[in-house]
Amino acid sequence: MTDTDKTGTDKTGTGKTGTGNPGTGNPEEGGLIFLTPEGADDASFCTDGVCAPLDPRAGPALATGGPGRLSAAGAADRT
Amino acid sequence: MSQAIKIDIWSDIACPWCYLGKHRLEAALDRFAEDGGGNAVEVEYHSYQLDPGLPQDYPGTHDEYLAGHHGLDPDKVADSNRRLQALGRQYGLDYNFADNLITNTFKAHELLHFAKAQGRQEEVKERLLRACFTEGRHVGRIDTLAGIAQEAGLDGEAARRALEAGEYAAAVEADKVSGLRIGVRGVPFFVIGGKYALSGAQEPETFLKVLEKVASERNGQ
Repeated sequence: MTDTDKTGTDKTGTGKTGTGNPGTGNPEEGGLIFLTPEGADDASFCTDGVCAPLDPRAGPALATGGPGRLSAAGAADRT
Repeated sequence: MSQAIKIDIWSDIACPWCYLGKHRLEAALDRFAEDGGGNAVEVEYHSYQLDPGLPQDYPGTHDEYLAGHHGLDPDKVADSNRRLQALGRQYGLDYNFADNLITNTFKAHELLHFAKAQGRQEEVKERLLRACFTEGRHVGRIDTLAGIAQEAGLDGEAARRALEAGEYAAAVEADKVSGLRIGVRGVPFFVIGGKYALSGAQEPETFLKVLEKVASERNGQ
């Protein structure tokens, strides 16, 4: 099995279909058509073609750490 | 001349698959340029941080970070490294995980926005990934980042001032929020033509198929 088997190459066109009004030219303005799985949902981190954060469903509050700061979603939650 | 096909990419500097995905996409773009019917393509990189809680200086190696911080099996980490190295060689990439420095990539993302404002984002993205995964440079430090800006043909001192002032910090945060909003749960993450989303470092053939689909839709075929 190649890496692409796992990352969705063989699933092109059969994945989850988005809703809304695709094709507006701006990803945020309409639903997207997902041709592959949306990314690792577990703690696989960097395997099989995609790197995922340890908590991929975390909201924007997760993404506020600057250099030197530790977020609430730090290592302690992940091991 | 039809409107360029936009490719929006969410990715992190500290993401080896993003490095491979960038080059696989570029291989697809080369082929699309040859037989894509004259459709122009515009690529924009958006910021995404896999681990925003990292300090600037992480006290450990790449493998120790994955095994210790993320709890991955060291043997699987070694396997993954070897696999990436083999795949990277197909595109002329030299993954040097032994010298890879783990750091917070927020400032590097600020530099990407600085570069975007001057039309040099792709060059800086490439330089950052090579600095991180091949050259073992510390891409969390402003000194290094100013040097990379200079190497990419930008004003290194202007880059330093922008980074010290956090001039593009809000732009980085906005990208991260936009990624979460559209459902990015892993990187690299590609949105082609504002419509089709692909997760992961797909093969060039996959990117090419989607590009051709977007082009044919635009041309009414």
